[in-house]
Amino acid sequence: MRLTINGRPWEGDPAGETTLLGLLRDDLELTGTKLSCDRGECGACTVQLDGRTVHACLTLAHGCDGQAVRTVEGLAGPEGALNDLQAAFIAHDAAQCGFCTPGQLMAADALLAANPRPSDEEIRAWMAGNLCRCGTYPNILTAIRAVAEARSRG
Amino acid sequence: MHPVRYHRAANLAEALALLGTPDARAIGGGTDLLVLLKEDLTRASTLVDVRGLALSETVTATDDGGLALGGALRIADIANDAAIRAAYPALAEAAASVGTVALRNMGTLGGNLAQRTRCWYFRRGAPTCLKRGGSGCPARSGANEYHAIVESGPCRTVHPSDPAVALAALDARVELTGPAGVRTLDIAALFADAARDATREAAIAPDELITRVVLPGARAGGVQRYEKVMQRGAYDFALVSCAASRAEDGTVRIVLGGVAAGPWQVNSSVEEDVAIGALDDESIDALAERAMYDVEPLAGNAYKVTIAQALLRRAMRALGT
Repeated sequence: MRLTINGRPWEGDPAGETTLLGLLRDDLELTGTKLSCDRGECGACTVQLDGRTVHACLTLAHGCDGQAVRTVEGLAGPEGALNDLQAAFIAHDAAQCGFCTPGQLMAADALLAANPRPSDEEIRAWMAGNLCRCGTYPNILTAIRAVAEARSRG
Repeated sequence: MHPVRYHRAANLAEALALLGTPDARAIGGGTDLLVLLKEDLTRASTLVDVRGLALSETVTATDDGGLALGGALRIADIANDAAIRAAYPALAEAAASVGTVALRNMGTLGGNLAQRTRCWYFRRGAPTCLKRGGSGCPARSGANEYHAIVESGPCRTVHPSDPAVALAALDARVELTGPAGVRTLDIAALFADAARDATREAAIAPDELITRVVLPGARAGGVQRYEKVMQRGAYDFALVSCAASRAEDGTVRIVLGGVAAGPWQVNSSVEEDVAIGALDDESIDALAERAMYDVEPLAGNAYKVTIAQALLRRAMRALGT
């Protein structure tokens, strides 16, 4: 099977039961994507598959054959410069323990690609699948709103 | 998760042949099946990926003015499809209310109909549970606030699907393809044995596949609604939901979710009275009472009757005044 992972081609033949999450973390050492509930309930493992968010814990690696995977490691620019969304999460204190943050970022990135100027209600609805046990939701909302506004100003 | 072989079927014939082998299971988005496998609630030695088959992910116009939906259509694509939104908005709304963005991107229509019950006795492996190899239903005398208020068999499961409730109110038919060919069932027949069958809720044989769901042209347009009451504001299964449609020919369908082992259509005499129309508040109250006259709530879920009647009154106001 072949994948494009953060823009780079990858080829391999994992075991049938290998999830996309297992492939990313254990085989490719892309450990930004987190394993938490392992049941599709928390959103910590959110990645983008052909631009759409999925739970990597409930996605079989083989089921992604031919598709493009984007993880949190794919957000930063060359030399590791944080992108505007990542910078906004820091500026607005949108993480406490930070464990859910990679999933939050990938969901927020997909939101802004689909809807560049979301209302607060649309942000809340879209982000409902990404839980934060530290309760940083208000700051996540502020960070996403700030990026949407900054991008629309160009 | 135990080791499994993964196959992506090249065509329908290959998918059906693979599904006929022992311990083979069809997989779409995997949002339910992989949880069941991880929790040892089901077994599989072979997973047959049924996405990508010809016409399985398309919405096609039918000769009678309806739509045929491929079994592997993603829930998100149902929610966003322009033709579905125009002709069958109740289904689009029901799809949009499923889970979260990521789950809707993953889950398929066929998988949504074939998903297992969320009953916590089943999911936690209660040994007395009918669906776990026991002979009864621990919910009857246990914690039953999320269970059925309608008696439809030994088990008090409710089916978690939102789309199924809307499909029932739109007279949809489900096409199952197996080794002997195609058979079609209406939604009521699909879930008729959900409270009796120990192995599944939807009447799909292990070697069958949901290939299409067909919406009749007669129920396109008109007045349609889907309303879902959840315990949380988002990302939840329905406590009670209600799908209702008034077709161009005036006929009415009103179906409740979250109250029975499958989508539960109210008595046809109630639908006929709503179809006659000109309902005032008093008659709406009386019809909502009549629709629920024979429900039998358990100790913890009488509140569902109150919610169901509120949803029925709103639906009748939209359809019958």
